Amino acid sequence: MENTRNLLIKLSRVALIISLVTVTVSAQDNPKLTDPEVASVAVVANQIDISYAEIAKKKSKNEDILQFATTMINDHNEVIAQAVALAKKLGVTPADNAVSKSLLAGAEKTKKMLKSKRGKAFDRAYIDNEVTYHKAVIEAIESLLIPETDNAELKSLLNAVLPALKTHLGHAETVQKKVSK
Amino acid sequence: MSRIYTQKGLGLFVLGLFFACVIATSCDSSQKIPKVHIVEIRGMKFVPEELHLSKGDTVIWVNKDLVMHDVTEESKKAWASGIIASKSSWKRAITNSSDYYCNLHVVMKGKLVVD
Repeated sequence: MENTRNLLIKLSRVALIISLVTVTVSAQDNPKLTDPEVASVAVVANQIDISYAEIAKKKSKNEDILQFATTMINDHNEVIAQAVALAKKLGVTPADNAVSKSLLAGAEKTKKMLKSKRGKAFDRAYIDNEVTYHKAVIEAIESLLIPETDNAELKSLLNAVLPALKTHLGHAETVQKKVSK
Repeated sequence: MSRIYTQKGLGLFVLGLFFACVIATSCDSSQKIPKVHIVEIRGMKFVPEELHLSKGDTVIWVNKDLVMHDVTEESKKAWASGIIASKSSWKRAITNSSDYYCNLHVVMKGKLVVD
């Protein structure tokens, strides 16, 4: 149980890194999280990228953007399924919390910004945000979570997810170059 | 009694020799038997990334990643697997050298070289 708690605390730190990079959470918004709350954060981080992709699918007519967005929806849904399965195995039920709310608040601002743009301006804004978001998540997982975690199952899941995130980043940067022309 | 066994043994030997000749003459030694090769999709890579094979060999792509993939011929999209779900596979007999990629994750690339 102690190991599980330690792992989930580490998860919360990762979530905070992501939020600091992408949402600019202030120092006082650094609460201790319970296990169910941390589980929520892990799921929310993936859901946010899915929500961006859903906007892209509605607003963009660019084939590269549409294909990238579809891949984001499919892949992040798969990661959520894996995270939920692990949370269930660890006996954790996701619950709303300050960090997940902060992530969602930041995502709302980004979604509002995306919704305000049209055409090529939208495509550029969407893919720029995808590059930034994936860089932040990769940095958080590589520099903190994987080195510190001792749980073999969690480490395995993170190691399995990391190549997917890096491939997403490479894909996003490829699309970014095309869209910026 | 021993003569009967000897005759029976000789009969089996002749029969075996007959089938061996039939098999030998029916097989053209210049033709290779097609092989089956496995390409694993893991860590968002095709492993091996470059595969050398003979014309007519079959390649089976096995998806060991968490996420779905596909296999699409790169130059003209001459062939494509469709979705290969996690823990699923797809196979194709290969007749030409081909560069291919994952149409879902376009930075994932592989190469088939027919020697």
